[in-house]
Amino acid sequence: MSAAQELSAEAVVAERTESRRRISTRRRILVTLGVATLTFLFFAPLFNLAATSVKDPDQVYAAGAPLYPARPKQVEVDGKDRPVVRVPQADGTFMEMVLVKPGRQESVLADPADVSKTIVWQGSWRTLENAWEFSATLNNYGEVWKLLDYPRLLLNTIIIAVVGTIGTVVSCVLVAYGFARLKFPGRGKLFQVMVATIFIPGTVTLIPTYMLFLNLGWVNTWLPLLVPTFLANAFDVFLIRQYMMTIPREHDEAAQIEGAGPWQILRDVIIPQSWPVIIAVTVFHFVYSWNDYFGPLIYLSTKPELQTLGIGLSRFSDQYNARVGFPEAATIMTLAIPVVLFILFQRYFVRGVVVTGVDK
Amino acid sequence: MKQRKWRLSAITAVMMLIAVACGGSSSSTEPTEVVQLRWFVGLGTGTDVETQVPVQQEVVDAWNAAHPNIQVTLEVVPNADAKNTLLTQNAAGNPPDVVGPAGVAGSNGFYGQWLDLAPLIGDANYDLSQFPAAAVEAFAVGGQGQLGLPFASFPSFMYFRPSLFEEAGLNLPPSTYGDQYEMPDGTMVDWSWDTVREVGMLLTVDSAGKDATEAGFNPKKIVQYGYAQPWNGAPEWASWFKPGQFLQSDGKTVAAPDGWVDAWQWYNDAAFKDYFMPNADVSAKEEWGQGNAFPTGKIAMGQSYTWYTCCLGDVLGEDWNIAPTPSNGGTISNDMNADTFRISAGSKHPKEAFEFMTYLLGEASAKLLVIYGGMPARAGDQDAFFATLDEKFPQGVNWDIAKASYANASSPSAEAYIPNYLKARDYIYSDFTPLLTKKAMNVSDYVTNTFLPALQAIADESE
Amino acid sequence: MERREAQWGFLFISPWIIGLAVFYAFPIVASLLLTFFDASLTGAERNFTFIGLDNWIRFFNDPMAWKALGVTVRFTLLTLPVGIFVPLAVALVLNSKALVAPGLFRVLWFLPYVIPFVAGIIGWLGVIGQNGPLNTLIELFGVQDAPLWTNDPGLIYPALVLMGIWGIGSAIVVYLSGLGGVPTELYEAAMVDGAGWWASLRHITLPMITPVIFYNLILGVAGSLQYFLVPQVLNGGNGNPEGSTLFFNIYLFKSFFTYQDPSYGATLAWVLFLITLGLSLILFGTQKRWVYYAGGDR
Repeated sequence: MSAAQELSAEAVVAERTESRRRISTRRRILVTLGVATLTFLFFAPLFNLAATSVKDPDQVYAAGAPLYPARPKQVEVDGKDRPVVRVPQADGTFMEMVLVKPGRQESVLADPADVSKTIVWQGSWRTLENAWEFSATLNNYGEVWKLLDYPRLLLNTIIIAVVGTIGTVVSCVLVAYGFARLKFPGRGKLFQVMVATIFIPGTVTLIPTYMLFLNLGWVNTWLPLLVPTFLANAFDVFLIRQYMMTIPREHDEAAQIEGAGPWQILRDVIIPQSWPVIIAVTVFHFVYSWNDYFGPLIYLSTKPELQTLGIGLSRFSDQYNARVGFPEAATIMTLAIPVVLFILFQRYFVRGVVVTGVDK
Repeated sequence: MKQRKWRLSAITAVMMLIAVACGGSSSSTEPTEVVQLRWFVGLGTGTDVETQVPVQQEVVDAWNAAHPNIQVTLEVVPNADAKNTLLTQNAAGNPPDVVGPAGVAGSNGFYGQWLDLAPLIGDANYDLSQFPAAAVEAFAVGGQGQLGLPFASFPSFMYFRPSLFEEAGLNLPPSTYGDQYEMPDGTMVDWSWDTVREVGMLLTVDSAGKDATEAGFNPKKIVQYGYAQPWNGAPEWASWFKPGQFLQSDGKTVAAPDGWVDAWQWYNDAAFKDYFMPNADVSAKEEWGQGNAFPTGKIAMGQSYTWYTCCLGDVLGEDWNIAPTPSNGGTISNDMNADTFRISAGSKHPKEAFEFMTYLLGEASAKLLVIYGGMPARAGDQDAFFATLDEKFPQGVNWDIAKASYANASSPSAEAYIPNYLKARDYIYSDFTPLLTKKAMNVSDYVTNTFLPALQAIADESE
Repeated sequence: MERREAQWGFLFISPWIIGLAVFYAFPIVASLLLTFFDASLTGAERNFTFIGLDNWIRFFNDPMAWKALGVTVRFTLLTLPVGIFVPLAVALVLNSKALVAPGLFRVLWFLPYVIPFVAGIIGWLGVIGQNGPLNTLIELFGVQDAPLWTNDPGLIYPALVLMGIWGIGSAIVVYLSGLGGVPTELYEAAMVDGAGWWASLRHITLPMITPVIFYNLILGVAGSLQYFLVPQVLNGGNGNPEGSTLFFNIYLFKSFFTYQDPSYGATLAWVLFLITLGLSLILFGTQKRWVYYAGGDR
């Protein structure tokens, strides 16, 4: 390639970079707005949950109820709450009146300001719309807090997640290092076996595993959820091992020449370079444990005091299905903590994501 | 080397298998003097956190305070998880001691897993004469002994909402079995399922105020229905028309009992031809209670059992009452549910469990029956029971109807046994029942061509 | 020297070896043996009879099992592409140089992943519910009868996919890390050759991240074949509407527990295992044709 060609190539790159910069202001706005809209839709359930959690149950049963939290307007007549309806007037406007006595052909309506003033209205009252007034209530949260035993469920979930995460990270780093760096007979075969175990449906091993824990007397304790995490899992080992494979061997060879054993190499060379994947695995396992449903379901089924938030929420929403607002309030309370924790620690996570140029 | 490893793991696997087969027999019991019992609630009623669980806990606390050597733990598992949880516990040799309240389906579904109480009844000299003999025999299941003692009965009748009849200018349903019903035109008719259909259509109204009999009625915009069927399944629906059971006398063949196909067609027509009952898609909507429509206040009638008083909600207020079960071809068929407590065959402390069970059936029963909505098996307790219900529902519910339904309960029960019961029941209730209100169909064809062959195949699997 | 390294190696992987023996090898062999027996593990009498291949023959003649397998396959055909391409598209956009505050958006798109899936189900059920925002929107466009998503056999699968959409966070992260690993020089070189956005996506980005796509594909296949929790929580596994949610794993679980037929349940579990294994092997076989490993040997 001649010098002139090189020059022109550089010029092309410069020009294109320049043009990209010029377009990008408009593009930036478009792309960012588009992504923001999508993100909003992605979070639609959250907004909807929040709105429903402050609704009164009456609103949900009534036809034609608005989306925002509201309740049908009512006025007391002779000791009974009667609905307020919107009666169309000759001039096209609506007048709010109290429906005192509904009937098929004619109904008795009253003036909301003075219910003794009644008129007989001809027509079917069902064609009249209800009048609504804005009404948000935080009562649902207070009642759910009491009914759900929230603090205890939360503490249980945190303990199980933290201990499980420690177990997973420690054991998986050790095993991954063994597979990534140390030569031993059958290593390739064993690694294949390990990858294969990822595809074994949990149901295949369920009953014998349950039996094992039962005979150990571990059912209805946290041990079936915690102990296995210290015995590594194929998924995370695979992830860490793949990452460790990308660390240049020269680094540990240099350490080896200085007389470092495998243990020191892991501690001084490999781990300091593996933080991104370790952080990623930490986050992943913490989330996995936080969201684990099946384990707590079968191993803690008869110990509500040891249960986790996921199960608590599922049972609660089953039981209070009919009480609109309750499951939603419980859901908001359940997802609040992981979301807050995540926002607090997202710095580490984002760094993990950015730095992780995992080359598989 | 390799081979030896394989042999080793094979042996261990077999040992594991044996461990599975033998259950948790190796798990030792604590050598303490205090006997720990577990009371498992969840197969039937008893799981409502607001109204039922606290009372059950009170009952347990009272027992524990009085019996320091027999401590009971209450385990409440929601309905949806209960069956699997109990099966897992049983499979693992870790069964709860006392289970209940559970109905016929509960016992059939755990065939062979209940303890025969006869020896315990003999040892404790428990007085069976306090119950009607027939009620005791109902729990003596062929070949397996006395699996339960009478506790709660749930007769059925028609729930209705008086204000909706008044709004339509209709007479209320009869208040006594045998009374006739006066139609708007003054003719007197039997209180039959045909009448329910006619009245139901008058009580079904669209958003323009037209009822289902009028021209221009819009079935897509219905705001009030004449009838809704809360929960239950196809066998119950049909049992209110005519009692029967699928299993034929040879113990192998299944067939549709006489009159059931017509009954199912009545429900299918109600949803898709006469429009006075919400179909499955409507029922699933929130404003129609997601499967439990009557408590929304926009349903005029619904046939169910006494236990349904559990779940009427707040919207109805005092605006509901009960009426006779409608007749069909001149006869009335009153299906009845019966619940009781049972002891697991694998209980390690059957004697203590029986002692606790008799406490539930006796001293504690007054409290429990009210929260379960079950009529006491002991005739002497029934008036007190209804008095308590009157405190809860002060409008003056016509409980004489419930007593009459109880006295004339039909047989066999809608939950009668079928081979491979759990799978058969799952098929009938999860697959067939929802279909009846899912789309308009010729029920007879479907039953002959699809339903019965599938049910027979399931029954045959147990061979 | 080598022997000492081997000893160290076994020492390091020993936690996994123990786990393999205790939580995989023994239970798997036990459940495989179970498929050759007629076993009643519950009840007063625990019978245990050797019946040879009867359970396996029964599977081949069981219409419900095949129906459930069909349900699972149909759902997989919908959910697998969504699970692979939606996170990829999101990752591509989040990786765009034109995006302002990419860090914030990355955090936001991962965030729902930490929300318990039961909460996700309840949340999305609210959105697609009868009177929820989605149907309100549909009605604004003039549709008279807005659908009941979870009650319509034709709409239940999209609804299920939507209910699982909050779980794409991990796939996005994996894609993002893959995209971050594509050397910038490649793009610059492409630009020199006059390649536009589409061409660089087609010829550089996608080939460079095929290992990540492959990884997500393998996990996606295994995950969708074992699909279980969402329908179980949604309707207790009753299969409604019209049997469309009777997934293979639900039927398996029911046979195991609800129908108290552990040996047949174990047989179904093994069937699922073999199918998953077979599909994975096929996918690994195709790997050479389309998956590009930058380092050559992996």
